[in-house]
Amino acid sequence: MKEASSRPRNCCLALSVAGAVLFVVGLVVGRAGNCSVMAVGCASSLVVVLLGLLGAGRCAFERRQLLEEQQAAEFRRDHGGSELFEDADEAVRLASRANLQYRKYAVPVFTVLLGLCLTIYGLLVWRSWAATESFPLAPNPMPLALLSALSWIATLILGSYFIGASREPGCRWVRPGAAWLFFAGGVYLLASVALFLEYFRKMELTADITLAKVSLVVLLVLSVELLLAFVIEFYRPRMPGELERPLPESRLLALVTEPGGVARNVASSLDYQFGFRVSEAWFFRFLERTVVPLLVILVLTFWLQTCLVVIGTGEQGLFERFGSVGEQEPSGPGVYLKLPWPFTRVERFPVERIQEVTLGEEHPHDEPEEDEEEDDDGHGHSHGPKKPKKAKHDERVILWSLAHTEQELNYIVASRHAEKLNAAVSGLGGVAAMETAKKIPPSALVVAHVPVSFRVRNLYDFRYRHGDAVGLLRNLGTREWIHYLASADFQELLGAGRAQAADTMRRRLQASADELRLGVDIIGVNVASIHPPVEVGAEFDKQMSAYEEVNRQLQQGRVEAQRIVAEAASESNAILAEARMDNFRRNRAYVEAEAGLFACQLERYRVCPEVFMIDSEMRVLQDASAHLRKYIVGGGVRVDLYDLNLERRSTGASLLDMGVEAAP
Amino acid sequence: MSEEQQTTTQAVQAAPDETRRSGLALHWPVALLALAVVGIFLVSMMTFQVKETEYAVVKTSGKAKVDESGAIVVYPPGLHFKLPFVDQVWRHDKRIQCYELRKGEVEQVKTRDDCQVVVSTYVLWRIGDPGVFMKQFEGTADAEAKLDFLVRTVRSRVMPLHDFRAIVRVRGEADGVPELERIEDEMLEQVRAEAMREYGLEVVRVGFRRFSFTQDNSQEVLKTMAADRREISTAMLTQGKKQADDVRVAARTQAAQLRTTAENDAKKLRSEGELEASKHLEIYRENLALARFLRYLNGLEASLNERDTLILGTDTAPFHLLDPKSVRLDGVGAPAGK
Repeated sequence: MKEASSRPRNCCLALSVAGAVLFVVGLVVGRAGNCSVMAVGCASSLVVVLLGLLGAGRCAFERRQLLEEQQAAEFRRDHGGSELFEDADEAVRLASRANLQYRKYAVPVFTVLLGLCLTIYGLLVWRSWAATESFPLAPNPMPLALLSALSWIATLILGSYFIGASREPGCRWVRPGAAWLFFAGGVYLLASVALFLEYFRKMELTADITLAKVSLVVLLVLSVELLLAFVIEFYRPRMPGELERPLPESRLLALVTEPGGVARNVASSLDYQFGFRVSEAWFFRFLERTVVPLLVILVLTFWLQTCLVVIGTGEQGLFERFGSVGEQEPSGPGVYLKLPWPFTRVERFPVERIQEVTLGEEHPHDEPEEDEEEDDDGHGHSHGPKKPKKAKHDERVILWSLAHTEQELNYIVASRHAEKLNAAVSGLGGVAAMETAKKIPPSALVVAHVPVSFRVRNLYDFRYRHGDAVGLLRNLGTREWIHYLASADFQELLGAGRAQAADTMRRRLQASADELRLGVDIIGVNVASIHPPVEVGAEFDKQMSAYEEVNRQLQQGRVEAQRIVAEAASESNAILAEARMDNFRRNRAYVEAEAGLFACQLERYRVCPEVFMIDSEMRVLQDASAHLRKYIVGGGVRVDLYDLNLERRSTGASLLDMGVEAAP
Repeated sequence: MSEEQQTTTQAVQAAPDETRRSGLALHWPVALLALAVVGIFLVSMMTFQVKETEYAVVKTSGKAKVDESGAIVVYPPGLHFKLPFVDQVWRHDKRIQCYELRKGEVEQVKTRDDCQVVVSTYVLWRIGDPGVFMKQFEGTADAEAKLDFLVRTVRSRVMPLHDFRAIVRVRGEADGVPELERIEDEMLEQVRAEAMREYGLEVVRVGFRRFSFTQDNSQEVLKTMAADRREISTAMLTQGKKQADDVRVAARTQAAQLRTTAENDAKKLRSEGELEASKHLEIYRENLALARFLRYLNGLEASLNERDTLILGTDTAPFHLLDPKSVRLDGVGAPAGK
């Protein structure tokens, strides 16, 4: 007969209380110390509380069932077998049924819900961390670190106590919470480490979030294990007389929280899951004996692997022994032997790869805040008037009136035109003119994206003389670019001066880099992408349109001129041709021929004047009017009407047009 | 005691030893691991590494170790020993650092000719004197905050001594040192000595990484640029129209010249012809009426063309033949000379 003790329930309740206290401590440390690890610590403490309560419930039902059974047994003993309905009490064993239903429904539902909640919480927290750029440091980390460390020690003591207590009869349900208490303690230890590192300024920016992410991953694994436990419980063979293992108990945590070694814990978990003694198989026994040495050998092998280093093609490497670079001359591609980590390490770098920094864009660290309303890049620097929103640049068309990139910077550039204009305004005299000339400095603005290609020439100089060689090169390039623009002419820079700008920039940047022993060769500076600010880009487009309009007008003028001249030439030719014809008619041969003809005609006339006259008239009538349209008007007409079309009318003349009525 | 009993006793006595030996045999990897961990821990407590990129100074009870001359001992890169719990190692990056003032933000400054500009400056620095640096600063952030103050102070002194019009103007490389470089040199000169002497900071270079207008001035400049472009466009259009008109006028002039020349030539030709023809007019005097008649006929013939319409009466020869009454063989009724 089992003893109906209340100790298991009390242990579970005590565990819940311990978890609650831990939860409060976690909240305090998390809030006051901006400690991200505590997001996991608080969650695990809460799980301890819940598992404690679940265990307390289970123990209470178990106890009630035992009491009920004891009472039933006592009743049977008192009344012997005389009762009419001996088995009637089976139907009214409420505590047993409640216990059964609690074990059958409440525990699995609780396990699944807990697993789901933890998974969702873990994913949400991970997403929130991924979206956060920087994590604040603790203002005063030391006391909080000590508090976390004390909490860890307390969990160790309490956890050990509860794990020990869970081996007592009826206290099995204390173990899941106790195991989670150990896990929570471990997380608090990580929080303590993070806070100590912050205090000692070691990896203070990364330690907390790194440890937090590690602990969150473990939490997610444990939550998934809870869900899996619910599933695999269905397929577990039930053995008669076996001790019940609580469903939410973590097998993974049991590996480290229970005595007997990892292998023994794995074996007991497998025995429970498969329903037979897996741990008695020879392979498992062999594995149990050799797993630790194998692991040690594995770790040693991995460590000794660090003696071998391969420097790839296009790379160079510098060997650091105890932090000191003995030979500044880098080693080329090949396989090298060295002392294992951490005694010797190799700094490798792809020196042959051409790299690039771009001038004219903001650095990531001083990226201005997005502001829809303000037309300011956040530095008080203007991008000009009324920039509605930078249009998304169409990758297929690069226009001056569209921003080429998200972060364009305007640079001041000298301008001869502006200088002349300024001088002209100043020359007007008067205070207002002077003020205007002062207000509008003789210069222009230009936007430029200047990619600078470089290659590492001296690895030692590049890696060991400068904290951030690439950042330094970018700043040097920007400086040289600003200097160049302050002396260059705006118009030339937009036109033929680009090649000269690229050459000068490359030369100056190389000199500057050499002066600082940056260890790089400047391969090229590309100043192709220079354009006026987007705000005035449209005006430059209009200038181009005006240029085209001028060309069009000139072309029209030239065409018209050609037509005028051609017409004039044609007319001149016609005039000359006519004159030549007239001249020909009056030249000697022609006139002599005509005189000869007249002499003949005169002779004929003298012979018979009347016939000659009629012949002459008829000839003209026959020849000249052969193809003419003729109207013969019969009697009554006293006047001859002649319609002579001297202008080559297109429509045929009609008698009706002339208002002459036809003869009836 | 029988032999069997003795053997049993020995076996019982030997059992714990064997158990102990087998325990050791089983747990040697763990023991080895523990030894290794302890060894690593001890070595790490008693040694320290100085990287190639670092300065390292050992402090004992808060005081830096000094040599015979009283100078602070700066440890070179490599492995060094120290007393655990007694010696503390202070280390700092010795490479050239590039610090952008106020984390790269731009600041408004005024030039001598009253022009408002915004600038952003960077400083290249490294530790010049570790002893002084160690006394003054706890870390890089403190040093950079001090540099921030020093350089901004100097910049605010130097910038107003220079004209914007001298800084930004078209010039060649032969025109000497650019004004911006001159400003940077002046800033470097003023900040370098104090930074080294007071703070152990070696300032290598000061440079501008942004140099632009304030928002108001930027807008003014952009407006001016836009107006310039409009002016240029308008001038181009006007000039183009004028050029086109000039071309047309030239063409018209040329056309007029061509016509005039042609007309002159035509007149010449005609006059020459007339002169030539006049020499042969004598014969027509013999019968002027006939000559006139023939000329009229020629004129009539020449003036008729295909599209003309001729309206004639039946009293016109030879169409009078169409009128039966008017035609007779004796010729009576024939048109009289028409």
